[in-house]
Amino acid sequence: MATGKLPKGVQVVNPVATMASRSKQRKRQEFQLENLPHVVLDKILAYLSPEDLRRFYQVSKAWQNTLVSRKRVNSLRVDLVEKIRLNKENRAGGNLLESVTPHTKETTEARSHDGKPGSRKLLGPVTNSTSSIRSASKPRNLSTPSRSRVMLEYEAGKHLLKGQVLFRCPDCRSPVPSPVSTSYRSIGLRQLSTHTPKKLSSSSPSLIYDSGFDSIEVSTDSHQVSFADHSEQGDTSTEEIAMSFIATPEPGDRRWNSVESSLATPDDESFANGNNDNNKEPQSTQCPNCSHRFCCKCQCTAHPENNLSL
Amino acid sequence: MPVVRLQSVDGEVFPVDVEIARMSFAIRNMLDDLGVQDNDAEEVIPLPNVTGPILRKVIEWCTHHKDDPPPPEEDDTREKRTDDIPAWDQEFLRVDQAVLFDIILAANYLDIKGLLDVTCKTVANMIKGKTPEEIRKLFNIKNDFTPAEEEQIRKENEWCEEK
Repeated sequence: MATGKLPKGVQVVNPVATMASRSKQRKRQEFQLENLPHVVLDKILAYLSPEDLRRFYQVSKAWQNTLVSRKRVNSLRVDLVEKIRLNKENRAGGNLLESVTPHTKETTEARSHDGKPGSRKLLGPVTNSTSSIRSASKPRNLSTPSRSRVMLEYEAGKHLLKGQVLFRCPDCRSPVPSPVSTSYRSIGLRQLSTHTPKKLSSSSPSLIYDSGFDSIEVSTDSHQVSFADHSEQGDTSTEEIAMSFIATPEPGDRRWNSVESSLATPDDESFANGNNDNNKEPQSTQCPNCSHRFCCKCQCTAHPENNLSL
Repeated sequence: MPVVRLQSVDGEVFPVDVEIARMSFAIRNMLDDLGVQDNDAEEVIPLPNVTGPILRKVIEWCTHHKDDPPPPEEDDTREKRTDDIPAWDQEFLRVDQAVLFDIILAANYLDIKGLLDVTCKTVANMIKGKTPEEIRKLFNIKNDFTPAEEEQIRKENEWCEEK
């Protein structure tokens, strides 16, 4: 066979080599992970961690579809993304926290201490909780009317004796302690100066006074005042008590009015006049005509002539 | 030692010990279906999906692992490790991606579980710890996401990116 010179532009091509090269190119082009059998792909994906699956998802559409079509494996990726999102939200996103946290001296120092922003920026001085509770138990100088009233009632309550309660004066609305049943002095009983208290027993200390009723027993431990009418029996035994009530009766109770208006001692008068230095709190009094109760600083508006304010 | 002759798609014939050939469950089933016994030598089994070079590699791997215990059954609860590939296998699989994937396809076709496991682990190791861009570069994959799709993916994963 003659081997003449080939015309210009014509090249001899080895057909075997060309076929092999084309086959290689075809193979390289055909080789794609997503074209692997499902069993193989499942095996490969099973070896990947959720973080690797998250990156796998971002490679290409084909890889994305490969992953999404496998629900069980894809759920690992979705769970991871959700978990990271929640964790970062809880951390307020690091730098995001810086924008919402006010820059105080303490936080700035804490941040510059280790040089890592966001690591200790929330650490700051903690106030002593015990001291704050202690200070909260005592009313401070309060500005609003309702808080001022709380303050007044708190101060008035500190001077209450056993058996006393606070009530509000209808005129000046100030807190007023009620009379005390345990001591005739604090009850403010009148007209008792001429009568000598008689002690009934030592175990149950009680005092009996004469008044409009035949006898009044003031028990120091039960805080009761008993009125006994023994005109028929002629005896002052406490067994003949006709009626009894607590020493803080409702306003308008005539019996209380009778007791209060009929029993008194000079000490009680000075006490009621406010001359008692030991107790400067306003005491309660009552209009003898209408049973209107008010504090000693006020007077009954209906019967100003019976001014009991002292 | 009885021998079976495996013929690749390109006509190449490989005489293989029956015991080694039976590591492939596909060949084992063929032999069983044909009624070929261990003493029936010179039986030719055509393998239309495997090329000569790949079949040679597969036979090499099977010969090396002929004494291995049977691989354990699949267990989804078991930890999937990829760092336990024997050194010999690592060296054996240090080949082009095309060859590696042909070996994977052949192992899947011939149903050689041990070989399939080790090749899949190798591919998984190629993906592990790489960014999407690195994976694209390694596997010569074109990023075919549109800008809108990329923005969507970025939004979905913005919480996961380190700041």
